[in-house]
Amino acid sequence: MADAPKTLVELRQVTRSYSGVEVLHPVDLALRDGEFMTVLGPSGSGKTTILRIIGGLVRPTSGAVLLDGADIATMPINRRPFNTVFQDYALFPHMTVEANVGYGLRVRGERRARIRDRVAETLSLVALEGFGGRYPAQLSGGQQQRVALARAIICEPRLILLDEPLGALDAALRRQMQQFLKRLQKEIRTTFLFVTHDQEEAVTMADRICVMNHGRIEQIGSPEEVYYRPTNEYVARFFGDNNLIDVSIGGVEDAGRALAGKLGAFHCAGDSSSDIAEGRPGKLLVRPEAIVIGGGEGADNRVRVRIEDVSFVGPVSQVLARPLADPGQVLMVKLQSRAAGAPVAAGEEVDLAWSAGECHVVTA
Amino acid sequence: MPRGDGLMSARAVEAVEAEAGSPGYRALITILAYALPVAFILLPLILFLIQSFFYVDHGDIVRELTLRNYERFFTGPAFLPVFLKTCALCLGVAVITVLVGYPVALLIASLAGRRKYVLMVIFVVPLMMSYIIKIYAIRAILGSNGFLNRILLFLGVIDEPLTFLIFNLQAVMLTLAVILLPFAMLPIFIALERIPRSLVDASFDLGASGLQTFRDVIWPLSAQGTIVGGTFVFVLAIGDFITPQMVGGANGFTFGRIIYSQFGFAFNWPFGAALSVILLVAVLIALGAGSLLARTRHQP
Repeated sequence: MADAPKTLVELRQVTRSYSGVEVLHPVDLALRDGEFMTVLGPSGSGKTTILRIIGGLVRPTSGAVLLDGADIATMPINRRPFNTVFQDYALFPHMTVEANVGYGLRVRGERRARIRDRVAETLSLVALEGFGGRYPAQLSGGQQQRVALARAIICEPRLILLDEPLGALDAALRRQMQQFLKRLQKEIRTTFLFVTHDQEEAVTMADRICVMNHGRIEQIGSPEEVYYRPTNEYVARFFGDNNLIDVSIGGVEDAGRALAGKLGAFHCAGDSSSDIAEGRPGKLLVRPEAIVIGGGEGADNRVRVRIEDVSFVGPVSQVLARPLADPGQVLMVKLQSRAAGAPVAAGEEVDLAWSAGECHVVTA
Repeated sequence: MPRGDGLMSARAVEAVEAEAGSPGYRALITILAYALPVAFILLPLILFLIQSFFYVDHGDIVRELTLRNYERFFTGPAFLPVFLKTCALCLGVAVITVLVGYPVALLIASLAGRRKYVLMVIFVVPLMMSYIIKIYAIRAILGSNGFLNRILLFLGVIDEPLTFLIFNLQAVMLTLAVILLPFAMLPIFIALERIPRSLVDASFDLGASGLQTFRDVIWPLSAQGTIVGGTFVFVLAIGDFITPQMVGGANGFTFGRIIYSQFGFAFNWPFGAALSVILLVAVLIALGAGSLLARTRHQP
């Protein structure tokens, strides 16, 4: 069995201000050795600032940056064992692919023959054999991207920082590069910190996701955790469609937590809710695909609704329903589409049901 | 009435478009675009070239084609040496302006935000100042009763005013360098400005030192602009005759002054024209060499 994963880089209470405005509020982040972490957030959320602080391009205003437990806040960028893949690739236009890729070794004073061998090896790793003599301007966007990647991995850094590297590529190439990056990361067993604003990209690539908003980390967790067990409303709304029901939090039960709201009494399983104080307002979260229509004798949670709309959107059909107890709210249900059509029609009154294990609660 | 206005303006736009699009209008524009440079640049140059093949006999211009002016340039005792010395002088001016201008431009370009543009404007303002005023200012500094001599006398470094500061070729070179410095700095600054910040970041990120980054990234990407700046300065310096006249004295004789004297004192216009043609050829060679050098430096 493997030991508990070692922490490679750690940010402790790191902040960053630009002319007095704090763009990064105190953040704590621990990167595990060998993991693929994506930092996800809208523009201006501070995700690139985090990357640049770790890379050494930006000094933190306060807080500590640790590598293997030692503070590297004052370590200059060219001494850090990290390499960056820049958003615009930042390939040197006056150098061939070979010279670009070999640059890191050359400035370290490696022998010519060794550089040649390592460049050839690395180019074959990114499937660019035979492109060594070309100039960046003679390559497609995807090829330039792979040159930038090769240039970053050739020095065998402890950590590779990727700043929205796929932003300029079209959708098909993007997916291809996502898989390629994931494979490469497993192959060279290096820690990747990948910044993106695309949730699908973040979810498909990451071992863990760090969700950011307004200069704060909202949640760090595996894609499943972030999707099914968000720690707050922002994250709950950020990934895909979700139903949020106002409740007040009741007592602890053997299975989890009792909740009460306008729509009735609910039961929610799960460990994350057990430490919330009783009586606080909160939101019950249940994914549209976790809700069952009709069934429900003996279900943990049940709401009587009137179906408002049923729409077919390919593999799933989307049902909108208004609870009889509070017609101001709309609940969404997603069903697998069937050739025979949806089992309900607009105007019908039915029960929506879901099990305690499929829902989650956060404080409001 | 808004509707009426709309209609009117739409009609007006149509009318203008129709006029601009009509073949006659376009032809007129095309003819003007070619005719103006031909009439005001090419034609005078051709007349000058023709003039250079005439000669002067007892103060009169003889309109017969001859190569004697060019012969005189190559065989006369003074012309070719002065021409070569002037070329060397202007090359020196170009080198000085680049050597001084490059570090300053690099420093300014590396500043953050709007500050660098403000500073650059401050450096470029002398470009727009009167040329003559600048020359007088330099004379006031370097002259035997000038600022520099007075300071040195006051400090007791010297007992008598230094005379080698002005009225020689070194003074011409220095003055030209001061006057033309902004012309070298501007292209260098623009070249440095165009280097994406991320390239420098990438170089550091890959482990390079500041010196390595300069040698491998910044210099190769700004060499073209530097050559352009140097060429600019050379071309402007070689045609100048006012500066050599005002700070060169008897020892600061340059090719520009020889040409000037052919028109102003010797009244030998055909010979002056021939010397001007030779100067023009030198300028064209300099421009050609500059662009050739710049291209081989930058192109894959």
